[in-house]
Amino acid sequence: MQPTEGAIPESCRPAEAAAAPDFAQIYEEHGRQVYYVALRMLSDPTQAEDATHDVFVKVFRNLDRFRGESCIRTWLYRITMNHCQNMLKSWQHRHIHPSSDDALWEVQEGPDESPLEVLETTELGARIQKTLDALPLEYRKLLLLVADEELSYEKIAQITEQSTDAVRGKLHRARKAFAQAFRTTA
Amino acid sequence: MKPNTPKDKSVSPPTPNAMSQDATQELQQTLTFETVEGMLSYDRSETPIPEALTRKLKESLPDQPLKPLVQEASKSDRQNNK
Repeated sequence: MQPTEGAIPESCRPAEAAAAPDFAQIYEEHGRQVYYVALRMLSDPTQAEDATHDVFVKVFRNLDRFRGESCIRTWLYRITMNHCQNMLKSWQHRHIHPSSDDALWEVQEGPDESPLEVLETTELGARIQKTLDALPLEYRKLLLLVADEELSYEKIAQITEQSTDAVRGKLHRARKAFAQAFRTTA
Repeated sequence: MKPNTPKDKSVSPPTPNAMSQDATQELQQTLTFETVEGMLSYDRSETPIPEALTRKLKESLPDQPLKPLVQEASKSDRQNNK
């Protein structure tokens, strides 16, 4: 079915325009993205779980303050990135480093996955994490945001509070840096 | 807006934005991505969400009818990655 002209995508519909977006629906639609960004920013599944929990509690408490000037996902990403950045700063301050225990990267086998696919995914996830950890935080954030198909450069610029041109330029360098660092993880 | 970069993974050689073929020979036997964001997007879809997350959130917000987060459907045919 063709979308109605001018229709705002479900995930980018401001809270005011949508029919009373309820919290459960927001969690269902965006929870995975929030957890993934937290995981790849913090490099620790347990900390990412805690961060995602805290982000959604914060969202629940502030939902009535959401002014609908940006889409919900943009708002969520901003909260998530600020929260994770604060956690990272606090760790640096206390000299705490996230766990690098390989067991944490174990992937649950899905019903349709062969063991080989699980093995590949596990390896890929670990290599991606290692690569992202080697990049400056700003590159890491931009790459995680651009991987979301629903975010335009303009929205990434809003989240990271810089111009669209700056986002474009930094992303170009971030992609190159990622590709270079990825090679070293083989 | 973002340029219309291909989001699906395929067996075609990677672009300069993706990893080099030599460097990832072993990985490319099974998975090939055209862009870094394509790789991250795939990684996101394959990353398991801990069940405890929804459980913990339900404990904090008991009145909310939260459902467990489901595995994201892969955006492209995974067979193409082979």
